[in-house]
Amino acid sequence: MDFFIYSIRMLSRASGLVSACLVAGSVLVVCQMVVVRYFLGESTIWQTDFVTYGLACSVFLGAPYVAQIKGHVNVDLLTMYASPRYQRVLAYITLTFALLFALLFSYTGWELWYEAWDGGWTTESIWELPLWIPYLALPVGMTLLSLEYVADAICMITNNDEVPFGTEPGGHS
Amino acid sequence: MSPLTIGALLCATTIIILATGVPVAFTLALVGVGFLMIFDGASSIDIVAETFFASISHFTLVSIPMFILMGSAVACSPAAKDLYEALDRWLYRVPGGLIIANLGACSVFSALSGSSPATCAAIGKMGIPEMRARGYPASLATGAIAAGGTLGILIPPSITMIVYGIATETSIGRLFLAGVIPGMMLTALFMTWALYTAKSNGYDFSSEAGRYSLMDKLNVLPRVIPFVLVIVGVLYVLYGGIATPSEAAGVGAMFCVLLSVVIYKIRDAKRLWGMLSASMKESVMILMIIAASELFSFTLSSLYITQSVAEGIAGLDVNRWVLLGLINLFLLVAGFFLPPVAVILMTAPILLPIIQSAGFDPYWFAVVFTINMEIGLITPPVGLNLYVINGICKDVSLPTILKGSYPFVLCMMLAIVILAVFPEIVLWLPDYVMGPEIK
Repeated sequence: MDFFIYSIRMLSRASGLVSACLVAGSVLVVCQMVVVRYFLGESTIWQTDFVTYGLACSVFLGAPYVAQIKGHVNVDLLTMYASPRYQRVLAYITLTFALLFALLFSYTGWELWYEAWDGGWTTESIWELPLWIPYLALPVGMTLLSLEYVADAICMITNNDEVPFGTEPGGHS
Repeated sequence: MSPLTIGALLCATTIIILATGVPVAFTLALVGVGFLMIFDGASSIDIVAETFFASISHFTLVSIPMFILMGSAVACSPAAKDLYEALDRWLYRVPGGLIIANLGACSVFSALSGSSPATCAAIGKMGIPEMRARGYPASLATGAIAAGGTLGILIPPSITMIVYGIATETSIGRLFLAGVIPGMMLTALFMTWALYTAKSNGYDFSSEAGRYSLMDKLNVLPRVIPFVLVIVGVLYVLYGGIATPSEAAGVGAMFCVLLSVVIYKIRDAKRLWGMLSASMKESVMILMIIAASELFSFTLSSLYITQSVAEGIAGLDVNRWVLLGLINLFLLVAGFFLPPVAVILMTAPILLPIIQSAGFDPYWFAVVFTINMEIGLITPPVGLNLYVINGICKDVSLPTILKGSYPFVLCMMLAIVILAVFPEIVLWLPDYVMGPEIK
């Protein structure tokens, strides 16, 4: 069981790494695009699509890792003041909703991906990027997110001190 | 069931789920999808994934991760220390110069880093002990930094403004400009209050020690000016019509990362990775909320809730200032519990038509909205800045910090009143630079 949890945590981290690389890559591509468009006066073909879809993918692929480090911002007013017993009850409720969310978008995400693959959908630009490539990030990310919460649930059941979405200052404001 | 009843039900469900501690993004998406399936048929699940994906694949949204990375690069570097030193060295002769330097450093650093807690931590770590050592009361020193940290969501480039622009389909360039003068006005109000209270407590300004030669003053500048130039440059290309916000943000991010590598010699992989992963974490969190709120507002308008609420309020025929007062109160309360980005995404699509039909300007409202959100950052129960400061000065109790920041809350409320009386303070600069708005 420990190995199962460990593997999920590592997979989420790997997915987060890909997400961060997509952010870094997008910065480079935006700069390249600015140079090509404004300094060389040429038109750009693939850059806008790459950056737009790349960052959308980075969000879905980054979500499991952000969940692991409790980075999805939440209202922790009740959890802060509740007694440890109620904190546990609240934790189970939150985990159920979070898992429901992740499963909903895994399921609909795989459906969408299959439709795009089967129908040969492409982007509207001249580049005509097949849409199944960026769409893949949604089901993959959300499936990992579901697994991440399954792992959390296992930790919570077997271990008494794990509370999901603990207070963590430093969210964006 | 009437749209208003469904709306009330939806509102209650959202609040209950949020209160249990479910992340904001997940709550909005689940409530949105749930209500759509119940009241619009189960088949509406088919569009969920595509709407979710489409809502964040917009080129305008690219500016968010880029500006966050830009801020992250600044926050990871010791730029705050230099900025603080520079202002202190240049202002030491001014009566109460230290507190002015602190508030000034807060306003510049929070604009650069785009993060209110990061500003409180970075400036507060140096500023608060220094102010206390020179005899300022602990409550004033901590309150000033808590309030100063909030300025960044008003002064451009501001993520909060970008999100408002996306939620209401208003021009981001114009929103940025709209925040400039109110941001400076608020900084000035903070400084005035700080000086007044320091003076009325019998604090002797002349005791501020420290003499700096011209060389000391000049030495610190080369490390500070480049970052300020990047901000000015980003704003310049935006308004020169040279580039879109996303392009300006991308180039700005690149420059800030390069500057922190060149000037601050951040070259080890670990710190660079820290910079990148911190900004990834934050942009994922914000963009997830944006994607989810798209589903949420899609449901609101599919079930005619948005339209019914707007019509209902317009039909009440209340005085526009009473209406504005009520909206302010509502925003203030929402800001007590939720982060600014979430409040904007959830409420702006409903509030904007109401505000506009009452004859208020959407850009002016953006500024008032943002000041309300700033108040939420330094008031309990969520007031993040208070906890950050409590974390860095463990010997100052939370009630003392609260006591110090409370007058600054009044300054912000005063600012809202001033802006309500003189809306030109907001609108003059965008009109002057970009020409009057085409309606």
